Amino acid sequence: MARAHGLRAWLIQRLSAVYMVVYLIFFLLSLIAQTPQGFSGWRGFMTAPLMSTATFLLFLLLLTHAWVGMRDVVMDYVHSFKLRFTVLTLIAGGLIAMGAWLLQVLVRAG
Amino acid sequence: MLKKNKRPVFLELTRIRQPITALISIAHRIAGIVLFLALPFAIYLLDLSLGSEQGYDRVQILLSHGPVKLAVILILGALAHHVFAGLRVLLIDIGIGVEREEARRTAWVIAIGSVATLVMMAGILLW
Repeated sequence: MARAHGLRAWLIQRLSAVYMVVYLIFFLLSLIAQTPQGFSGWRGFMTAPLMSTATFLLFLLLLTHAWVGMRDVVMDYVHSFKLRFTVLTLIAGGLIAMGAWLLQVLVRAG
Repeated sequence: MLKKNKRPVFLELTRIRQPITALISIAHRIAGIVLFLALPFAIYLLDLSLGSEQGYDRVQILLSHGPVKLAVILILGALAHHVFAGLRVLLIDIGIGVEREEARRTAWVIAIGSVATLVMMAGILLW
C-alpha cells in the first residue's frame, strides 16, 4: 500500500504538471490574441466559460501539486515526528484555505 | 591489509563540487517553495483585480512600485525555472535525456533558458 501511495503521488505530480503547462500556453496565447483592456475587459476575459473552467481546474491541480511537492520537501528535511506533523498540518490548512478563497473569487467574478 | 571500512560516511554537501544536474534539482525545489509562498499574494492580486474597478486600479498601482516589480520579476523567474526543470523531468520520465552526458546538457539548457527568461521578463516589466 505504501508503494501504491508513492506511485499515486508521483502520477498526480506529473499529470497536474502537464495540465498546468497546457494552461500556461493557452493563457498566454489568449492574452496575445485578445489583450484585455481595463477592468471590464479583464473580468470578461477571466469569466469567459472556457477560461473560467480552465482556471478553476488549474487552481485545483495547482494546490494538489503544491501539496505533493511541499510534503516531499518536508518529509526529506523535517525528521522530528511532532514538528513534521505540525508543519504538514499548517501547509494543508493553508492550501485548503487558499482553495476556498479562490473558489469564492472565481464564483463572485463569474 | 585492507583498511577497515569505517561506515557510515557523512558527506559534507557544501564541500563537494555539485554537478549541474544536482544544482538544477536543488533549484527546482527552492523555486517550488518560493512559488508556494508566493501563492497567497497571487490570489490576493487576482481577488483585488476581479473584485471591483477600484481593486483593479489598486493592483495597477501596487504593481508599479519598484520593490513589488522586483518581487514579481523574481517570482516569474522562479516560475519559468520550475516549469523548465519540470519539463526536463517529464522528458526523463519518458526516457529522453536519461544518460549522464545528455542529462548534463539538458540541465545547462534549462539553466541558460531560465536566466534568459528572467532577463526577458525584467525587460518587459521595467520598460
